Amino acid sequence: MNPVISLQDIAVSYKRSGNIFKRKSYFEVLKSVSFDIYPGETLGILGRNGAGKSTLLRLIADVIQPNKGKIVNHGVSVSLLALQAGFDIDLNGHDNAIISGMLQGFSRQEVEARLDEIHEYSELGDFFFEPVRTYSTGMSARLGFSISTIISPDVLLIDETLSVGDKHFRQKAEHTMLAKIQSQQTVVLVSHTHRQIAQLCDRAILIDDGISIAAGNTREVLEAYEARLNSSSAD
Amino acid sequence: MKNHARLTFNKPFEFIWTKAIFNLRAEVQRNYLSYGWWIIEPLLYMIVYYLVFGILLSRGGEDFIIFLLTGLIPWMWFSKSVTNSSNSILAGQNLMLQIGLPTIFFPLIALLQVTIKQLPVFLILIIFIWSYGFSPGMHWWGLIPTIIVQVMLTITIASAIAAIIPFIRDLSYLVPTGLTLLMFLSGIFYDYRSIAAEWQEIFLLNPIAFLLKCYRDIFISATSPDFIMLTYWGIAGAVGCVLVFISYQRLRYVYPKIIME
Repeated sequence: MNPVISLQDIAVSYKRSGNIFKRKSYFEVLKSVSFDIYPGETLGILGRNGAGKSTLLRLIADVIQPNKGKIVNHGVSVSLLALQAGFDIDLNGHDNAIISGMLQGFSRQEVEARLDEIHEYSELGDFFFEPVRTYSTGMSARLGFSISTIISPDVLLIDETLSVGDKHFRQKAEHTMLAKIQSQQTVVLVSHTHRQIAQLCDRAILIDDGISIAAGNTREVLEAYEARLNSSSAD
Repeated sequence: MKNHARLTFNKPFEFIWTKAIFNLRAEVQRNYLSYGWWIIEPLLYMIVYYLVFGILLSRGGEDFIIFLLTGLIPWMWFSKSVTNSSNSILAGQNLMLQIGLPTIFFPLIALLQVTIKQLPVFLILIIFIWSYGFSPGMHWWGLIPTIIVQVMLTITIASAIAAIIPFIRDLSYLVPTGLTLLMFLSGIFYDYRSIAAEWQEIFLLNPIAFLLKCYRDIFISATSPDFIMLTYWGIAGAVGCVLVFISYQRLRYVYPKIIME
């Protein structure tokens, strides 16, 4: 099977801010990362906090470009699952849903046609027409997730644990995600929690110290990750 | 063209328009006087300037209020556009890191927002001028090219400033000072003909001073604006817009990175 996206020896560095009193310096988040994403699979990316997992997703989503190496996209659409992206707390849920939906690449008409669906999924009731600043954290998380249920890019990128509100709604959201993952949807899931990767992913990649050090069967990669964590905590 | 968001942003104006309208809605709904501020705020400005320059300093003659308004209102449109868009890229940083939307959207949304807010003020200006006895005629057609040139120059200048600020954030401190300097150099409170004759031509090389002169030619002198100069500035504005768009296109991967740094 041919990959939909290939990352070839990617390196990304950021500048550490300098000013007239301090010289600027650079640090490499990713040094050499290579892997392929295949159609229909759910790929897990493992790594500690600060391993450059979010940077990796931004690269795949075409938000930034690598300093070195190449990303080859074989003509697929990619979208980062950005819950609550662009929310304006002074607008009501309805208006935020329109903007957020348009940011995910829909036309206004397309979003409006699915507003009832979003409204219903969110279980916000009349609060849907109240400003988001009056929402609890869980309510805005619910609204964010509900909007994202309408998107279906070729490759969906998901960052870390989805914070989606109370237990009932979390189960519902996980159910929806699971349905998406089990369908033909290609998913790249980034996480540092063992459980999620083990449950959801067909295949995993381990990033440590900016280098992709293991790829393949989820169980094996998870074992390698555990070994790494233990050896570094023993130091 | 591989990003989903970027790929399907085939209706950029629809998004810019919707976002500008929604931003205004959000801004308004927190105020007690709601949309009333769109009129009250510029009105307060005018009263302040009129008190200081018209009464305390007793400048100009009887028509000073008209002279002042025809300069002040187009100026406020420009200056608010620059102020509001200057930090728009930094303000949109969270969004930019999640979704690869074209960076130029940020200043353009800010510009459109200011422009929509200025529309009722412009309308009131026109009604005021008319009721003052300066009736419309064929020369009022000159407003169309004048406004188009102002829009193009504003897009160029405001977007260029907005584009530079993420690189050198210190510059944002200079924007208000720069605008104050430009305000005094544009002849809002005084007639350019009152300065020394040898300086007048140089004075009018400032595009804002020239545009204000155009508005006054139309509204007060009841003549057509200088179409030749207007054409030159129109060409400059069009070239400026194209250059700004190209620069933003080239810098689209740069902004998300410098914002994280």
